Amino acid sequence: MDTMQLSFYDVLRMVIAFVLIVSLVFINAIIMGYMERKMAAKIQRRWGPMEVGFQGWLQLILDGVKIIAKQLIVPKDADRTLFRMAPLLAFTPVVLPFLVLPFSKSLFGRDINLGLIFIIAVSSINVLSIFVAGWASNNKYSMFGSIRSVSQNIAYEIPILLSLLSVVLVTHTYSMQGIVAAQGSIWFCLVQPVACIIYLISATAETNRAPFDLPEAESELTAGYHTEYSGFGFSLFVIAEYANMFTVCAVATVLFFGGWHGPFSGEYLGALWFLLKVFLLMLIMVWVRWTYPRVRFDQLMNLAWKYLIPFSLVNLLLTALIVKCI
Amino acid sequence: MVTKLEKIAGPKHRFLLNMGPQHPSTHGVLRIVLEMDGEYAMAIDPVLGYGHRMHEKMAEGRPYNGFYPNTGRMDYLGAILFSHGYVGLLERMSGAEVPERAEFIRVITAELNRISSHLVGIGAYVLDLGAFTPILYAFDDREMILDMLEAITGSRLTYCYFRVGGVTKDIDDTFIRRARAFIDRMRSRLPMYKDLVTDNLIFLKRTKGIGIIDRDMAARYGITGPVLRGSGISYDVRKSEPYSVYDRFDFDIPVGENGDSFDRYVVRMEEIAQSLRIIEQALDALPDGPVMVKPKKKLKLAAGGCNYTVEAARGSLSYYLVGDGSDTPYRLKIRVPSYSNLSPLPELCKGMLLSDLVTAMGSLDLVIPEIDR
Amino acid sequence: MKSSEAVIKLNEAGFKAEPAEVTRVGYHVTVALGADQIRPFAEWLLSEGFFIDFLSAVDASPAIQLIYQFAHFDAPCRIHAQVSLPDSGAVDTISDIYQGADWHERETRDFFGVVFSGHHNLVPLILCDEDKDLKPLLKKEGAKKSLADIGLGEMVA
Repeated sequence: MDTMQLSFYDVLRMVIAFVLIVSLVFINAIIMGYMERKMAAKIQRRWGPMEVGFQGWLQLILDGVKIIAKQLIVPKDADRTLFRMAPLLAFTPVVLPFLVLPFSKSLFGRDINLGLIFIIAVSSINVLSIFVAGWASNNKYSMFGSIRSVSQNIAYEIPILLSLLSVVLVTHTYSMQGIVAAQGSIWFCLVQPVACIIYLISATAETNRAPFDLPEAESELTAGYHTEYSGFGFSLFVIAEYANMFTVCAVATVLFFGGWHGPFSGEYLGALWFLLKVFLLMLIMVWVRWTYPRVRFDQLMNLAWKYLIPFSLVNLLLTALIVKCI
Repeated sequence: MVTKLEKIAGPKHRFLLNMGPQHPSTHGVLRIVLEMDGEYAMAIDPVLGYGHRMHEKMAEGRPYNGFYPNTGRMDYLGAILFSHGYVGLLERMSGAEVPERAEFIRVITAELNRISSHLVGIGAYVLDLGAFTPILYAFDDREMILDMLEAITGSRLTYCYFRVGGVTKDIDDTFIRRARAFIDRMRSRLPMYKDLVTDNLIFLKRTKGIGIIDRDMAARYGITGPVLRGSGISYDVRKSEPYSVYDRFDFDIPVGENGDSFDRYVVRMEEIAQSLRIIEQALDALPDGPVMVKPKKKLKLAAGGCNYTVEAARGSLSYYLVGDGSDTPYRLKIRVPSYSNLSPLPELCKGMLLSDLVTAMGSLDLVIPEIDR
Repeated sequence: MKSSEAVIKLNEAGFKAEPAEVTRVGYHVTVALGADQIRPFAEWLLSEGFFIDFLSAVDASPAIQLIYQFAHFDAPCRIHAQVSLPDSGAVDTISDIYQGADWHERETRDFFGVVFSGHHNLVPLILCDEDKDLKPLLKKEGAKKSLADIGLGEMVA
């Protein structure tokens, strides 16, 4: 194998891609923060942010400025290094999956042939940051939150992987572009409806969103793992949460909802379809959050171990059989 | 109860968890020290007194009339119900006449206040379970009551409306029209609450079978109000010892079946419907006449003890007053319902998961300033 | 249980019970208890299905009066019992019979300094540790009145 030759063009492309991705993460947080507040307001028959800019659209930017200006408070007996590291740890892994997401036919960072596995591997680092945050805070509520988070994430990664595998069995590829290309005629949510539903439920749990937001269940654990965080440390967790939502919804779009496919999706315009689908899925997650109460922890575990995992296993088996027969 | 962990590790691994005084689900300055075994609360010790104002001592230092505002500041959600008990007590002791119209207005406003209190109780309870939206719907409905009561009493939360001999201000046609509009609106909203909350699968799974109170426990702790009625015991002071003009109205006492958190919630929901019935009948039968009998300059009560019990939003509320012939009480004891309703918590929640403890405690619908009166 | 029936049964059980004028005083039965009768009285009430409404005290001369009030879930029958605090300053607890009395007794200890002997955890409930002997509801010497002056005299056992 030749030694890798990096041309100036490659380096430039990488820098631009990285800058774009990081800014996308922040912009996504701003858009989602705004959408969540407005949507919650609509559901709850109130106005939401209205003061700053038209319909309050500048509110989140102002909030960002305010949060940056805030003091970072480290609790007295906390592990200072870990405490400061945890938000950064939360932020890093959520940037990486964007590298392999196919925004359109030609708009993507890298199309590696193990793209799907890469995303799953990288996004499971997220739980580490939550655990570190809960441990370093030296607060019993934070500790509860992080313990819950770890067991929840471990439990729900299995059905996620199993349901994604049943799609891979159909497409014979882990490459994200390959999976999208395979959905030219029919979306996989129709081919694999069970896997699709299992994935969407598990993804909600994996991102710690209501009704599975037990790590930060405020009525029980005050704020869970980020109880002690203030200012930008706290907001990095929020940004990471929104970026995580984006990732799982993007994976759902790629695997079940036809990726960038749509009318007039040329080389680049497909990105619009892709983003539209992702944000629609995210809106559904927001909608669910503001509608349902929270489940109890043992119920959450039961759902994963007693229902989702067996069902996704059966689904995988059936898919394998059918693929083999055809 | 011995948990699995305890069998392996012995009791040493238990740790103390301090819940409150600032905790989202204690709804006020209540502190609960929990001895936790993992997520199981093995010993529960409520610590009271963070917001104690000693109303009983305050009463001894001021004339009878001067205590009216205090009554509204114990249970800030059911202020009218608390002042109803106090004026009822003074009227019983002094033998003061109350015009019939005033009694009807008292019932109307008290029941409106009960509805608004139940709405907050229900909304906050569902908030404890993690659903954010119902509380805002409940506040939406409650807002109408607050507006109505503001127009006639002048305040929105800590009402001081009842006086010995009547009420301070007569209700007008606007109030009656708004009250009728509210009854219609609330009746149309109740099915919505049923769809959104009561029939919600997650809600059912979270509340059914959690924190069961039986008759024996209720008697031992003196539990009253919706918490008691959730256990299937139809004890309501409005029926058993009718005060004011409650004996003239036709209403039911909703009761639960199992005495769990879910039944307590449902009882509150149905009590709203019953209160609407009472208000409707009272509005229909509202007599004409004055609303206030000119009181004597200074109220002086004869020596002797007297008790007056009313049904407040959270249960039976008793005022026990000992007079000494002067214009100040010699001793005023206030028996508040939440105090007795909270006291079974250590027994009720022993060995529960932290989440269930929040569920069970929320279903008691506590108002902490009432406990720390 | 009807209140008339309760009076008969209470007297049969050896307690000095009398019917009260409910429209005037707000309870149906008055019981004048001796300090040694509290526990049998509470046990009798629990076996008859009464619930505890409240427990408190009134400071008067010659002795603090303890007020116990019980009511019944099924019938309007509110029983009002009064106990004169003995010179020892202590009465028996009923917190093991009626667990709800636990907090009421602790509160009464806070406010009046009454000791409930046999109480499993008679620590301050409302007051903080520094002020645990404040006894805020005790009357000052000049303000304290006799039982006859406050109309509670006839109920002393």
